[in-house]
Amino acid sequence: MFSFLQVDTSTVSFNVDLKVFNEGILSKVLYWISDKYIISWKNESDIATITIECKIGSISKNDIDILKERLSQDFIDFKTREIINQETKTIRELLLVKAFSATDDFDEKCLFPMTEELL
Amino acid sequence: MYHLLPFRFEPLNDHYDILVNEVGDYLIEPLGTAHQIANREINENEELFKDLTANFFISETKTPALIDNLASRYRTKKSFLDSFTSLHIFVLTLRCNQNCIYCQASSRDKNAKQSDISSTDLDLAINLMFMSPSTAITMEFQGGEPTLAFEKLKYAVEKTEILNKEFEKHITYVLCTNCINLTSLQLSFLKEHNILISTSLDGPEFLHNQNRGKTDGYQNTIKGIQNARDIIGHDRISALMTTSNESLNFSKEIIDAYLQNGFSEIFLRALNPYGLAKDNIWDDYNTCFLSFYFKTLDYILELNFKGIRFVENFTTLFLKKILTPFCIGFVDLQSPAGIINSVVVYNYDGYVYASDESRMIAENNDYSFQIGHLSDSYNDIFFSSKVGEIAQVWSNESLAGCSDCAFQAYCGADPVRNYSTQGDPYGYRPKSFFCKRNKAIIKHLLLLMDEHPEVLKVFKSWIK
Repeated sequence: MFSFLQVDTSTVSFNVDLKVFNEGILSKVLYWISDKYIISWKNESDIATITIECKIGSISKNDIDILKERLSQDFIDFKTREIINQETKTIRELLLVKAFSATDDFDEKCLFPMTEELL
Repeated sequence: MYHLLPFRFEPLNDHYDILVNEVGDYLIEPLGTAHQIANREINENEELFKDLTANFFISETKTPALIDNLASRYRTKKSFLDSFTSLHIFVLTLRCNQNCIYCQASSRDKNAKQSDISSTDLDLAINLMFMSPSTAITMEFQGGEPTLAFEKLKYAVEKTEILNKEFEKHITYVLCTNCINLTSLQLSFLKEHNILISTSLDGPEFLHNQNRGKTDGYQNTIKGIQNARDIIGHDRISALMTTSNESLNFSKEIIDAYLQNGFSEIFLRALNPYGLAKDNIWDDYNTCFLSFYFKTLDYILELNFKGIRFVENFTTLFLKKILTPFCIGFVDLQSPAGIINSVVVYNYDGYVYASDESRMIAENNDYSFQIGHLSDSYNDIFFSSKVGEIAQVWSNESLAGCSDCAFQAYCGADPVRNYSTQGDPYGYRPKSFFCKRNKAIIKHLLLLMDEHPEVLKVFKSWIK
C-alpha cells in the first residue's frame, strides 16, 4: 500500500501493487471497511487505485492514522492467510475426503418405503 | 523446512494472535507468529516448533503421519450431521396467557382457538418426525403457551409412544411452558411420560412482571415451577431468561433470583429480532448486551470462586466447542447451519419451517423459510429446491468474512438471522451483530482462560 492521500474532508485514496497484494487479498481487506466507506477501485496495469469515502460525516486526521494502520496490518494478515490457504488446499481436501468418505450410510431402505406407508 | 497445515489466525488483542487449526485446537502466541510460520521463520529447535507440530499447525512431512487421526477428529466435530434432523418442534398453538413485551412468537389471545394445530396436521407432523433418520429425537412442544392446547400435547405423546414401538427411536420430550397453567393432572401426565419442562424466568419479580406484562406473572410462575418440581422432580425443570432492554441493568439481581429459586444454571439469552422484538433499537441493545453478558459472567465466576456452583449455559456451549473434541447440539452455533440439519418446526398453520425463527418471520407474512406443507412427502420437504437454495448459504466455511475467520470452528452460520436482520440470508459480516457478539465473547473467554488459571478450572468443571 502506498501513496496514501487525503483527497478531501471525507475521502482518502491509496495505491496497491497487485503483484504484492493480489485482487483477492485486496477484496478481503476492503470488505471489512465497506460498512463505513464507499469504495471505488480502478486498475492501471498492476497498480490498483482505491478511493474510499466516509458514508457518514468527515474523516479526521486521527481517523486517517487509525485507518492507515489497520489497512497496513490487514494487508499483511490477509496475504499470510492466502499463503496458508494456497499451500494447504490439497491437504485440506484430503482431510475432508478422509473425514467423510466412510460416512455415506444414509439408510434409504429406512426412509423411502416409510414415506408411503405412513402417509 | 516444514509444511503448513490448514489453520486460521486473528489478533486476540494488542499483544497476541490466536491460531486455530481445522479441528478447533488453539494456540495463543505473540502478534506476528502466523506471519513467521507462513514464511518458514520458525526454527525446529524452538519450543513453538514442537507445539505447532504436536497441534497440527505444521508438519515435518508433506502429509502428516497422523492425518487419519486429524480426519477422525474433524468428522467428530461435524458428527451432528450424521443423524440429520433430531430436534422436532411442534407449535401446538399460538394462544398465550401472558403479554410479553418482547414476544418473538407473535402470540394470540388465549381464547383464539383457530390458532391451534389441527388433529390432521398433528398426525402428519408426527409421521414426518418418524421419517427422520435420527435414532435419537427430541420432540419439543412450543407455542404460544402449549399447555393451553394440552389435549393436543397429550394426543401427540400417546400417538408417538404407540408408533415408536415399531420405530424404536430414543425420544426425549420437552414442554416449553410458562408453568402458569399447569394443573396437577397435567403434571401427572408429564411425570408418567417422562416429559421435561423448559420454562421462562426473567429474573426478580419486578423484572419478570415488567417483561411479561402481568402483575402476578412472577408469583404464578414460581408457584407453577414449585408444583412441577414437587410432582415431576426438581431436576426435570430448566429455565431460560430473555434479556430485554430492562434486564440489561440487573445482572446481579437476575442471577440472585435464579439462585433463590433453586436453579444452578442460566442461559443469558439475547433478545432475537423476531415478532414484537423486531422493532427494538438494535444497535444500542447489541452494544449493551455484550456489557451485560461480561458483567453477569464476572458475577457468576465470583459465585463459583466462593464455592457456589452456578453455570452459564451460553458460555458452556462455546467452551465445549473450544475445549473438547466434540460437537454441540445448539443449532445457532453449527456449520452447516442447525436449520433443517438439526431442527425443523411443524407449525400450527399446517406448514413446515426451517427453524423456530423461520416460523416467527412467517407471522409477518414472510414465508422465505417455509419449506413445505405437512401433507407433502418427506423427500419433497427436506430435499426440495428451496432447501437446496438455503444450503448455498448455510456453511461458514464458504461465507465472506467467515471463511478466513479464526473463530470459524467455534461459531456457526445462521441464514435466518441474516435474513431477518439484514434482508439477505448470505449476511454481511461487517455489520452483523451475530458475528460481533460471538467474536467478542470467544475472545473474552480465551483471554480469561489464558490469563486466569482459576477461571479455566471453573470453566472445565462446567463442561464435565
